[in-house]
Amino acid sequence: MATTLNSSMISASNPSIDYSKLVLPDRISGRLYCDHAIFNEELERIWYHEWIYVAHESEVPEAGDYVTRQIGLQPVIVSRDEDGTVHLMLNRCTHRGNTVCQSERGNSHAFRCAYHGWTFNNRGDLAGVPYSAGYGESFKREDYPLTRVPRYESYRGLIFASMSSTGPSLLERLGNARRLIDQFMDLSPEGEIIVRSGVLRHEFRGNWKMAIENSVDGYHPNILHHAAMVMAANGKADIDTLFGERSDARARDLGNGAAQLDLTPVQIKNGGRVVPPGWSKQAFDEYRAALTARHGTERADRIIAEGPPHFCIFPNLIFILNQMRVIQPLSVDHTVVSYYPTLLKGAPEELNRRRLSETYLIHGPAGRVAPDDIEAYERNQAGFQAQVNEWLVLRRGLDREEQEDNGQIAGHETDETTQRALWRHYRTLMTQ
Amino acid sequence: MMKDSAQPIMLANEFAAVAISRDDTGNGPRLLIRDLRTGRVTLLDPLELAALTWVRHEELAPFLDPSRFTGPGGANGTG
Repeated sequence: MATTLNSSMISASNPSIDYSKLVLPDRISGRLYCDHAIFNEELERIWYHEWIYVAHESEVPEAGDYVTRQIGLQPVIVSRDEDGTVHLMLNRCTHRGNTVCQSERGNSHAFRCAYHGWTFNNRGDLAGVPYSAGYGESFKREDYPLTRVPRYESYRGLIFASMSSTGPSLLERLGNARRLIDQFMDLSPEGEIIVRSGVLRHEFRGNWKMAIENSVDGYHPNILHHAAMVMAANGKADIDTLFGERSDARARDLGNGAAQLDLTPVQIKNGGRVVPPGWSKQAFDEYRAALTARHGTERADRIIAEGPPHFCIFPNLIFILNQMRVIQPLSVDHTVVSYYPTLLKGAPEELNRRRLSETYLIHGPAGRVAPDDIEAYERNQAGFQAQVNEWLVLRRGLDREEQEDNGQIAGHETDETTQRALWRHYRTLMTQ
Repeated sequence: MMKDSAQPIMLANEFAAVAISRDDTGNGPRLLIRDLRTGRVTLLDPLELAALTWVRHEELAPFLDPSRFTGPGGANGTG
Protein backbone atom coordinates (compact mmCIF):
# COMPACT_ATOMS: atom_id res chain seq x y z
CA MET A 1 0.00 0.00 0.00
CA ALA A 2 1.53 3.32 -1.02
CA THR A 3 2.00 5.83 1.73
CA THR A 4 3.91 9.03 2.17
CA LEU A 5 6.84 9.40 4.46
CA ASN A 6 5.78 9.98 8.00
CA SER A 7 7.94 12.75 9.39
CA SER A 8 6.73 12.01 12.92
CA MET A 9 8.94 8.93 12.76
CA ILE A 10 11.91 11.20 13.34
CA SER A 11 11.40 14.17 15.59
CA ALA A 12 13.74 17.07 14.93
CA SER A 13 13.90 18.23 18.55
CA ASN A 14 14.32 14.84 20.21
CA PRO A 15 15.53 12.38 17.57
CA SER A 16 14.00 8.99 18.23
CA ILE A 17 13.56 6.45 15.48
CA ASP A 18 10.73 3.98 15.90
CA TYR A 19 12.01 0.82 14.20
CA SER A 20 8.77 -1.01 14.86
CA LYS A 21 7.24 1.36 12.31
CA LEU A 22 10.04 0.86 9.79
CA VAL A 23 10.37 -2.94 9.98
CA LEU A 24 7.03 -4.67 9.58
CA PRO A 25 6.33 -8.39 9.16
CA ASP A 26 5.91 -8.15 5.39
CA ARG A 27 7.59 -4.89 4.42
CA ILE A 28 10.34 -2.50 5.41
CA SER A 29 10.99 1.17 4.82
CA GLY A 30 13.59 2.32 2.32
CA ARG A 31 14.74 4.87 4.91
CA LEU A 32 16.60 2.00 6.59
CA TYR A 33 19.07 2.14 3.72
CA CYS A 34 19.36 5.94 3.35
CA ASP A 35 19.10 7.65 6.71
CA HIS A 36 22.38 8.79 8.29
CA ALA A 37 20.84 8.81 11.77
CA ILE A 38 19.79 5.19 11.33
CA PHE A 39 23.30 4.28 10.16
CA ASN A 40 24.78 5.89 13.28
CA GLU A 41 22.36 4.01 15.51
CA GLU A 42 23.28 0.78 13.73
CA LEU A 43 26.90 1.44 14.60
CA GLU A 44 26.04 1.71 18.29
CA ARG A 45 23.48 -1.09 18.55
CA ILE A 46 24.86 -3.58 16.06
CA TRP A 47 28.50 -3.01 15.13
CA TYR A 48 29.67 -1.92 18.58
CA HIS A 49 27.48 -4.28 20.53
CA GLU A 50 27.16 -7.59 18.75
CA TRP A 51 29.68 -10.27 17.80
CA ILE A 52 31.35 -9.14 14.60
CA TYR A 53 33.54 -11.34 12.41
CA VAL A 54 37.02 -9.84 12.15
CA ALA A 55 39.55 -12.27 10.66
CA HIS A 56 40.51 -15.91 10.33
CA GLU A 57 43.36 -17.30 12.41
CA SER A 58 45.14 -18.52 9.31
CA GLU A 59 45.55 -14.88 8.25
CA VAL A 60 48.04 -14.41 11.09
CA PRO A 61 49.77 -17.78 11.23
CA GLU A 62 53.29 -16.73 12.21
CA ALA A 63 54.59 -15.01 15.32
CA GLY A 64 54.64 -11.29 14.58
CA ASP A 65 51.95 -11.48 11.90
CA TYR A 66 49.23 -8.86 11.99
CA VAL A 67 46.33 -7.66 9.92
CA THR A 68 44.32 -4.46 10.24
CA ARG A 69 40.56 -4.52 10.01
CA GLN A 70 37.55 -2.47 11.11
CA ILE A 71 34.76 -3.24 13.51
CA GLY A 72 32.10 -0.88 12.23
CA LEU A 73 34.21 2.19 11.69
CA GLN A 74 36.67 1.44 14.50
CA PRO A 75 40.11 0.41 13.26
CA VAL A 76 41.60 -2.66 14.93
CA ILE A 77 44.81 -4.66 14.79
CA VAL A 78 44.78 -8.46 14.95
CA SER A 79 48.24 -9.72 15.93
CA ARG A 80 49.88 -12.97 16.94
CA ASP A 81 52.61 -12.79 19.57
CA GLU A 82 55.65 -14.99 19.90
CA ASP A 83 53.79 -17.42 22.16
CA GLY A 84 51.09 -17.92 19.53
CA THR A 85 48.41 -15.90 21.29
CA VAL A 86 46.16 -13.73 19.13
CA HIS A 87 45.49 -10.19 20.33
CA LEU A 88 42.87 -7.72 19.14
CA MET A 89 43.43 -4.07 19.95
CA LEU A 90 42.25 -0.71 18.73
CA ASN A 91 44.49 0.71 16.04
CA ARG A 92 44.68 4.04 17.79
CA CYS A 93 47.78 5.45 19.42
CA THR A 94 47.06 6.13 23.06
CA HIS A 95 49.03 9.37 22.75
CA ARG A 96 46.98 11.50 20.38
CA GLY A 97 44.96 9.05 18.35
CA ASN A 98 46.84 8.33 15.11
CA THR A 99 46.31 4.93 13.60
CA VAL A 100 49.52 3.06 14.41
CA CYS A 101 49.51 0.37 11.73
CA GLN A 102 48.79 1.43 8.16
CA SER A 103 49.43 -1.80 6.30
CA GLU A 104 46.60 -4.17 5.69
CA ARG A 105 48.92 -7.00 6.72
CA GLY A 106 52.47 -7.29 7.94
CA ASN A 107 54.90 -8.91 10.34
CA SER A 108 56.30 -6.92 13.21
CA HIS A 109 56.68 -7.61 16.91
CA ALA A 110 56.41 -3.90 17.60
CA PHE A 111 54.42 -1.04 16.16
CA ARG A 112 55.76 2.52 16.08
CA CYS A 113 53.40 5.44 15.64
CA ALA A 114 54.72 7.58 12.81
CA TYR A 115 53.55 10.84 14.38
CA HIS A 116 55.50 11.02 17.65
CA GLY A 117 57.23 7.65 17.75
CA TRP A 118 55.30 6.03 20.59
CA THR A 119 56.22 2.37 20.28
CA PHE A 120 54.07 -0.60 21.30
CA ASN A 121 54.76 -4.33 21.22
CA ASN A 122 52.36 -6.54 19.36
CA ARG A 123 50.50 -7.33 22.57
CA GLY A 124 49.72 -3.63 22.83
CA ASP A 125 52.11 -2.80 25.69
CA LEU A 126 53.81 0.58 25.41
CA ALA A 127 57.53 -0.11 24.99
CA GLY A 128 58.60 3.51 25.13
CA VAL A 129 58.26 7.08 23.92
CA PRO A 130 60.86 9.51 22.54
CA TYR A 131 62.34 12.18 24.89
CA SER A 132 60.60 10.49 27.81
CA ALA A 133 62.09 12.93 30.35
CA GLY A 134 59.44 15.41 29.22
CA TYR A 135 56.74 13.30 30.81
CA GLY A 136 58.22 13.36 34.31
CA GLU A 137 58.42 10.71 36.98
CA SER A 138 54.67 10.13 37.15
CA PHE A 139 54.48 8.82 33.59
CA LYS A 140 53.98 5.04 33.63
CA ARG A 141 54.17 3.16 30.35
CA GLU A 142 51.78 0.52 31.67
CA ASP A 143 49.05 3.18 31.83
CA TYR A 144 49.05 3.65 28.05
CA PRO A 145 48.78 0.33 26.24
CA LEU A 146 46.87 0.10 23.00
CA THR A 147 43.27 -0.44 24.05
CA ARG A 148 42.20 -4.06 23.87
CA VAL A 149 38.98 -4.98 22.13
CA PRO A 150 36.72 -5.89 25.08
CA ARG A 151 35.84 -9.42 24.00
CA TYR A 152 37.10 -11.70 21.27
CA GLU A 153 36.71 -15.41 20.72
CA SER A 154 37.55 -17.84 18.02
CA TYR A 155 35.44 -20.70 16.71
CA ARG A 156 36.96 -23.12 14.17
CA GLY A 157 39.52 -20.39 13.40
CA LEU A 158 36.94 -17.64 12.85
CA ILE A 159 37.80 -14.70 15.10
CA PHE A 160 34.79 -12.71 16.26
CA ALA A 161 34.95 -9.63 18.45
CA SER A 162 32.51 -7.60 20.48
CA MET A 163 32.98 -3.99 21.55
CA SER A 164 30.61 -4.76 24.41
CA SER A 165 32.16 -6.33 27.49
CA THR A 166 28.86 -7.99 28.41
CA GLY A 167 26.30 -10.05 26.59
CA PRO A 168 25.86 -13.59 25.30
CA SER A 169 28.91 -15.65 24.53
CA LEU A 170 29.93 -16.21 20.93
CA LEU A 171 28.66 -19.79 20.95
CA GLU A 172 25.33 -18.70 22.36
CA ARG A 173 25.07 -16.10 19.64
CA LEU A 174 26.10 -18.46 16.84
CA GLY A 175 23.35 -20.85 17.80
CA ASN A 176 22.19 -22.95 14.86
CA ALA A 177 24.79 -21.38 12.59
CA ARG A 178 27.45 -23.32 14.44
CA ARG A 179 26.66 -26.62 12.74
CA LEU A 180 26.88 -24.93 9.33
CA ILE A 181 30.28 -23.49 10.24
CA ASP A 182 31.26 -27.07 11.12
CA GLN A 183 29.95 -28.26 7.76
CA PHE A 184 32.10 -25.68 5.97
CA MET A 185 35.24 -26.49 7.95
CA ASP A 186 34.76 -30.26 7.81
CA LEU A 187 35.14 -30.19 4.04
CA SER A 188 38.84 -30.07 4.94
CA PRO A 189 40.42 -33.46 5.67
CA GLU A 190 42.08 -31.74 8.64
CA GLY A 191 39.01 -29.78 9.67
CA GLU A 192 40.65 -26.44 8.88
CA ILE A 193 40.46 -23.87 6.14
CA ILE A 194 43.32 -21.69 4.98
CA VAL A 195 42.59 -18.06 4.23
CA ARG A 196 45.81 -16.93 2.61
CA SER A 197 44.98 -16.59 -1.04
CA GLY A 198 44.37 -12.88 -1.21
CA VAL A 199 41.04 -11.15 -1.46
CA LEU A 200 38.73 -9.69 -4.07
CA ARG A 201 37.10 -6.45 -3.02
CA HIS A 202 34.00 -4.82 -4.43
CA GLU A 203 33.14 -1.31 -3.37
CA PHE A 204 29.68 0.06 -4.03
CA ARG A 205 27.60 3.16 -3.42
CA GLY A 206 24.90 1.44 -1.44
CA ASN A 207 23.92 0.42 2.06
CA TRP A 208 25.67 -2.50 3.75
CA LYS A 209 22.46 -4.39 4.51
CA MET A 210 21.84 -5.05 0.82
CA ALA A 211 24.87 -7.32 0.71
CA ILE A 212 23.76 -9.61 3.51
CA GLU A 213 20.17 -9.71 2.25
CA ASN A 214 21.41 -10.64 -1.19
CA SER A 215 23.61 -13.44 0.11
CA VAL A 216 20.59 -15.54 1.10
CA ASP A 217 18.28 -14.41 -1.69
CA GLY A 218 17.21 -17.44 -3.69
CA TYR A 219 14.79 -15.44 -5.82
CA HIS A 220 17.28 -13.46 -7.89
CA PRO A 221 19.92 -15.91 -9.24
CA ASN A 222 17.92 -17.18 -12.20
CA ILE A 223 17.01 -13.62 -13.08
CA LEU A 224 19.93 -11.32 -12.32
CA HIS A 225 22.54 -14.05 -12.88
CA HIS A 226 20.69 -15.75 -15.70
CA ALA A 227 23.69 -15.98 -17.99
CA ALA A 228 25.87 -17.39 -15.21
CA MET A 229 23.23 -19.93 -14.23
CA VAL A 230 22.88 -21.15 -17.81
CA MET A 231 26.66 -21.51 -18.05
CA ALA A 232 26.81 -23.31 -14.72
CA ALA A 233 24.03 -25.69 -15.72
CA ASN A 234 26.03 -26.39 -18.88
CA GLY A 235 23.11 -28.04 -20.60
CA LYS A 236 22.94 -30.73 -17.94
CA ALA A 237 20.35 -29.19 -15.63
CA ASP A 238 17.23 -27.08 -15.91
CA ILE A 239 17.99 -23.87 -14.04
CA ASP A 240 14.48 -23.87 -12.61
CA THR A 241 15.54 -26.88 -10.58
CA LEU A 242 18.58 -24.98 -9.29
CA PHE A 243 17.09 -21.61 -8.29
CA GLY A 244 13.53 -21.73 -9.49
CA GLU A 245 10.10 -22.89 -8.43
CA ARG A 246 11.01 -26.53 -9.15
CA SER A 247 14.02 -26.49 -6.85
CA ASP A 248 13.93 -28.65 -3.74
CA ALA A 249 16.18 -26.25 -1.87
CA ARG A 250 14.93 -24.35 1.16
CA ALA A 251 15.36 -20.83 2.56
CA ARG A 252 15.78 -21.07 6.30
CA ASP A 253 15.79 -18.73 9.28
CA LEU A 254 18.33 -20.24 11.66
CA GLY A 255 17.55 -17.71 14.39
CA ASN A 256 19.77 -15.04 15.95
CA GLY A 257 20.34 -13.35 12.61
CA ALA A 258 21.68 -16.39 10.82
CA ALA A 259 19.98 -17.43 7.61
CA GLN A 260 20.57 -20.19 5.09
CA LEU A 261 19.83 -21.24 1.56
CA ASP A 262 19.82 -24.97 2.07
CA LEU A 263 20.96 -26.17 -1.32
CA THR A 264 21.73 -29.67 -0.05
CA PRO A 265 18.89 -31.41 -1.97
CA VAL A 266 20.10 -29.82 -5.22
CA GLN A 267 23.79 -30.45 -4.52
CA ILE A 268 23.21 -34.10 -3.64
CA LYS A 269 21.20 -34.56 -6.82
CA ASN A 270 23.93 -32.94 -8.90
CA GLY A 271 26.79 -34.89 -7.37
CA GLY A 272 28.18 -32.59 -4.76
CA ARG A 273 29.75 -29.15 -4.99
CA VAL A 274 33.07 -29.22 -3.16
CA VAL A 275 34.66 -27.73 -6.27
CA PRO A 276 33.32 -26.96 -9.75
CA PRO A 277 32.63 -30.15 -11.68
CA GLY A 278 35.43 -31.67 -13.73
CA TRP A 279 38.15 -32.44 -11.21
CA SER A 280 40.28 -35.48 -11.95
CA LYS A 281 39.44 -38.92 -10.61
CA GLN A 282 42.85 -39.02 -9.01
CA ALA A 283 42.21 -35.85 -7.04
CA PHE A 284 38.74 -37.00 -6.09
CA ASP A 285 40.00 -40.38 -4.89
CA GLU A 286 42.78 -38.74 -2.92
CA TYR A 287 40.34 -36.31 -1.31
CA ARG A 288 37.81 -39.03 -0.53
CA ALA A 289 40.52 -41.19 1.02
CA ALA A 290 41.69 -38.34 3.23
CA LEU A 291 38.13 -37.58 4.40
CA THR A 292 37.46 -41.27 4.99
CA ALA A 293 40.56 -41.60 7.13
CA ARG A 294 39.23 -38.82 9.36
CA HIS A 295 35.50 -39.51 9.34
CA GLY A 296 34.85 -43.02 8.06
CA THR A 297 33.27 -43.89 4.71
CA GLU A 298 29.67 -42.99 5.44
CA ARG A 299 30.32 -39.53 6.84
CA ALA A 300 33.01 -38.78 4.24
CA ASP A 301 30.61 -39.58 1.41
CA ARG A 302 27.92 -37.47 3.01
CA ILE A 303 30.33 -34.52 3.35
CA ILE A 304 31.18 -34.79 -0.33
CA ALA A 305 27.56 -35.21 -1.41
CA GLU A 306 26.26 -32.30 0.61
CA GLY A 307 29.07 -29.93 -0.31
CA PRO A 308 29.48 -26.51 1.23
CA PRO A 309 26.70 -24.79 3.18
CA HIS A 310 25.33 -21.45 1.96
CA PHE A 311 24.51 -19.12 4.85
CA CYS A 312 25.11 -15.81 6.55
CA ILE A 313 25.72 -14.62 10.10
CA PHE A 314 24.42 -11.13 10.78
CA PRO A 315 25.74 -8.53 10.34
CA ASN A 316 28.82 -9.16 8.24
CA LEU A 317 29.82 -12.76 7.49
CA ILE A 318 28.68 -14.89 4.58
CA PHE A 319 29.64 -18.37 3.39
CA ILE A 320 28.91 -19.18 -0.26
CA LEU A 321 30.56 -21.99 -2.24
CA ASN A 322 34.17 -21.90 -1.12
CA GLN A 323 34.34 -18.21 -0.30
CA MET A 324 33.83 -16.17 2.81
CA ARG A 325 32.39 -12.73 2.20
CA VAL A 326 32.87 -9.99 4.76
CA ILE A 327 30.80 -6.81 4.67
CA GLN A 328 32.41 -3.53 5.70
CA PRO A 329 30.20 -0.44 6.03
CA LEU A 330 31.89 2.90 5.37
CA SER A 331 28.83 5.13 5.50
CA VAL A 332 25.10 4.81 4.97
CA ASP A 333 25.54 4.54 1.22
CA HIS A 334 29.09 3.28 0.89
CA THR A 335 30.14 -0.31 1.46
CA VAL A 336 33.00 -2.64 0.68
CA VAL A 337 32.50 -6.40 0.41
CA SER A 338 35.60 -8.61 0.58
CA TYR A 339 35.50 -12.03 -1.01
CA TYR A 340 38.07 -14.41 0.49
CA PRO A 341 38.70 -17.72 -1.24
CA THR A 342 39.34 -20.48 1.26
CA LEU A 343 41.50 -23.51 0.72
CA LEU A 344 41.08 -26.84 2.48
CA LYS A 345 43.96 -28.00 4.63
CA GLY A 346 44.95 -31.52 3.69
CA ALA A 347 43.12 -31.51 0.36
CA PRO A 348 44.83 -32.25 -2.96
CA GLU A 349 46.47 -29.33 -4.70
CA GLU A 350 44.17 -29.69 -7.72
CA LEU A 351 41.11 -29.29 -5.52
CA ASN A 352 42.44 -26.14 -3.89
CA ARG A 353 43.53 -24.71 -7.21
CA ARG A 354 40.00 -25.17 -8.55
CA ARG A 355 38.54 -23.53 -5.47
CA LEU A 356 40.78 -20.53 -6.06
CA SER A 357 40.00 -20.20 -9.76
CA GLU A 358 36.28 -20.47 -9.04
CA THR A 359 36.54 -17.40 -6.84
CA TYR A 360 37.85 -15.08 -9.49
CA LEU A 361 35.65 -16.67 -12.14
CA ILE A 362 32.59 -15.78 -10.11
CA HIS A 363 33.63 -12.79 -8.07
CA GLY A 364 36.43 -11.10 -9.98
CA PRO A 365 36.02 -7.75 -11.74
CA ALA A 366 34.77 -9.62 -14.80
CA GLY A 367 33.20 -12.35 -12.73
CA ARG A 368 29.97 -14.05 -13.59
CA VAL A 369 28.12 -13.18 -10.41
CA ALA A 370 29.52 -10.46 -8.12
CA PRO A 371 29.47 -7.59 -10.62
CA ASP A 372 25.74 -8.23 -11.22
CA ASP A 373 25.04 -7.98 -7.51
CA ILE A 374 27.05 -4.78 -7.16
CA GLU A 375 25.12 -3.20 -10.04
CA ALA A 376 21.85 -4.24 -8.39
CA TYR A 377 22.87 -2.66 -5.08
CA GLU A 378 23.69 0.67 -6.70
CA ARG A 379 20.44 0.67 -8.64
CA ASN A 380 18.70 -0.05 -5.34
CA GLN A 381 20.33 2.90 -3.64
CA ALA A 382 19.37 5.10 -6.57
CA GLY A 383 15.79 3.82 -6.41
CA PHE A 384 15.52 4.65 -2.72
CA GLN A 385 15.90 8.31 -3.54
CA ALA A 386 12.30 8.06 -4.77
CA GLN A 387 10.58 8.60 -1.43
CA VAL A 388 6.87 8.94 -2.11
CA ASN A 389 6.37 5.20 -1.66
CA GLU A 390 8.98 4.19 0.90
CA TRP A 391 8.16 0.50 1.25
CA LEU A 392 10.00 -2.64 0.14
CA VAL A 393 7.76 -5.68 -0.17
CA LEU A 394 9.00 -8.77 1.65
CA ARG A 395 5.95 -10.98 1.54
CA ARG A 396 7.09 -13.69 -0.84
CA GLY A 397 6.32 -17.09 0.66
CA LEU A 398 4.76 -15.66 3.82
CA ASP A 399 1.84 -18.07 3.46
CA ARG A 400 3.92 -21.20 3.08
CA GLU A 401 6.54 -20.96 5.82
CA GLU A 402 7.01 -23.91 8.15
CA GLN A 403 8.14 -23.96 11.74
CA GLU A 404 11.03 -26.35 12.27
CA ASP A 405 12.94 -27.65 15.25
CA ASN A 406 15.34 -25.42 17.17
CA GLY A 407 13.22 -22.34 16.47
CA GLN A 408 13.98 -22.41 12.76
CA ILE A 409 11.58 -21.30 10.04
CA ALA A 410 11.82 -22.66 6.51
CA GLY A 411 10.33 -21.67 3.20
CA HIS A 412 10.89 -22.39 -0.45
CA GLU A 413 14.34 -21.45 -1.73
CA THR A 414 12.93 -18.49 -3.68
CA ASP A 415 10.91 -17.15 -0.74
CA GLU A 416 11.85 -14.14 1.33
CA THR A 417 11.94 -16.21 4.50
CA THR A 418 15.61 -15.35 4.83
CA GLN A 419 15.22 -11.59 4.37
CA ARG A 420 12.39 -11.57 6.91
CA ALA A 421 14.67 -13.48 9.28
CA LEU A 422 17.41 -10.87 8.98
CA TRP A 423 15.01 -7.98 9.45
CA ARG A 424 13.36 -9.58 12.48
CA HIS A 425 16.78 -9.87 14.06
CA TYR A 426 17.62 -6.31 13.03
CA ARG A 427 14.49 -4.97 14.66
CA THR A 428 15.31 -6.86 17.85
CA LEU A 429 18.79 -5.36 17.97
CA MET A 430 17.63 -1.83 17.14
CA THR A 431 14.84 -1.81 19.70
CA GLN A 432 16.61 -3.42 22.64
CA MET B 1 85.31 2.13 4.21
CA MET B 2 83.14 -0.95 4.42
CA LYS B 3 83.01 -3.33 1.58
CA ASP B 4 79.84 -5.30 1.02
CA SER B 5 80.81 -8.60 -0.52
CA ALA B 6 77.34 -9.43 -1.82
CA GLN B 7 74.09 -7.82 -2.86
CA PRO B 8 72.25 -6.77 0.28
CA ILE B 9 69.00 -8.40 1.23
CA MET B 10 66.32 -5.82 1.82
CA LEU B 11 63.79 -6.26 4.58
CA ALA B 12 61.11 -3.62 5.01
CA ASN B 13 57.76 -3.20 6.64
CA GLU B 14 55.76 -0.08 7.39
CA PHE B 15 57.92 0.70 10.43
CA ALA B 16 61.49 0.18 9.21
CA ALA B 17 63.66 -0.74 6.24
CA VAL B 18 67.06 -2.42 6.54
CA ALA B 19 69.61 -3.86 4.18
CA ILE B 20 71.59 -6.84 5.44
CA SER B 21 74.68 -8.34 3.89
CA ARG B 22 77.81 -10.31 4.71
CA ASP B 23 80.84 -8.24 5.64
CA ASP B 24 84.37 -9.60 5.28
CA THR B 25 86.40 -6.52 6.10
CA GLY B 26 87.35 -7.80 9.53
CA ASN B 27 89.35 -10.83 10.51
CA GLY B 28 86.21 -12.88 10.32
CA PRO B 29 82.79 -12.63 8.71
CA ARG B 30 80.10 -10.46 10.24
CA LEU B 31 76.53 -9.60 9.41
CA LEU B 32 76.15 -5.96 8.34
CA ILE B 33 72.82 -4.35 9.10
CA ARG B 34 72.15 -0.90 7.65
CA ASP B 35 69.11 1.14 8.70
CA LEU B 36 68.04 2.73 5.44
CA ARG B 37 66.17 5.47 7.25
CA THR B 38 69.03 6.82 9.35
CA GLY B 39 72.05 5.39 7.58
CA ARG B 40 73.19 3.82 10.84
CA VAL B 41 75.10 0.55 10.55
CA THR B 42 75.90 -2.25 12.94
CA LEU B 43 78.03 -5.36 12.51
CA LEU B 44 77.20 -8.55 14.37
CA ASP B 45 79.63 -11.47 14.69
CA PRO B 46 78.52 -15.11 14.55
CA LEU B 47 78.50 -15.56 18.31
CA GLU B 48 76.28 -12.54 18.77
CA LEU B 49 73.99 -13.87 16.06
CA ALA B 50 73.85 -17.28 17.70
CA ALA B 51 72.92 -15.58 20.97
CA LEU B 52 70.04 -13.89 19.22
CA THR B 53 68.50 -17.27 18.50
CA TRP B 54 67.94 -17.59 22.26
CA VAL B 55 66.35 -14.16 22.67
CA ARG B 56 62.59 -13.79 22.97
CA HIS B 57 61.03 -10.86 21.11
CA GLU B 58 59.84 -9.37 24.38
CA GLU B 59 63.47 -9.16 25.50
CA LEU B 60 64.10 -6.84 22.58
CA ALA B 61 61.52 -4.36 23.89
CA PRO B 62 64.13 -2.16 25.63
CA PHE B 63 65.93 -1.81 22.32
CA LEU B 64 62.68 -0.63 20.73
CA ASP B 65 62.19 2.12 23.32
CA PRO B 66 62.80 5.32 21.37
CA SER B 67 63.73 7.23 24.51
CA ARG B 68 67.11 5.48 24.63
CA PHE B 69 68.27 7.20 21.48
CA THR B 70 69.38 10.81 21.67
CA GLY B 71 71.11 13.27 19.38
CA PRO B 72 71.17 13.33 15.60
CA GLY B 73 69.55 10.21 14.31
CA GLY B 74 68.08 9.62 17.74
CA ALA B 75 64.55 9.23 19.12
CA ASN B 76 62.62 7.16 16.62
CA GLY B 77 65.47 7.39 14.20
CA THR B 78 64.64 10.68 12.56
CA GLY B 79 67.49 13.14 12.17
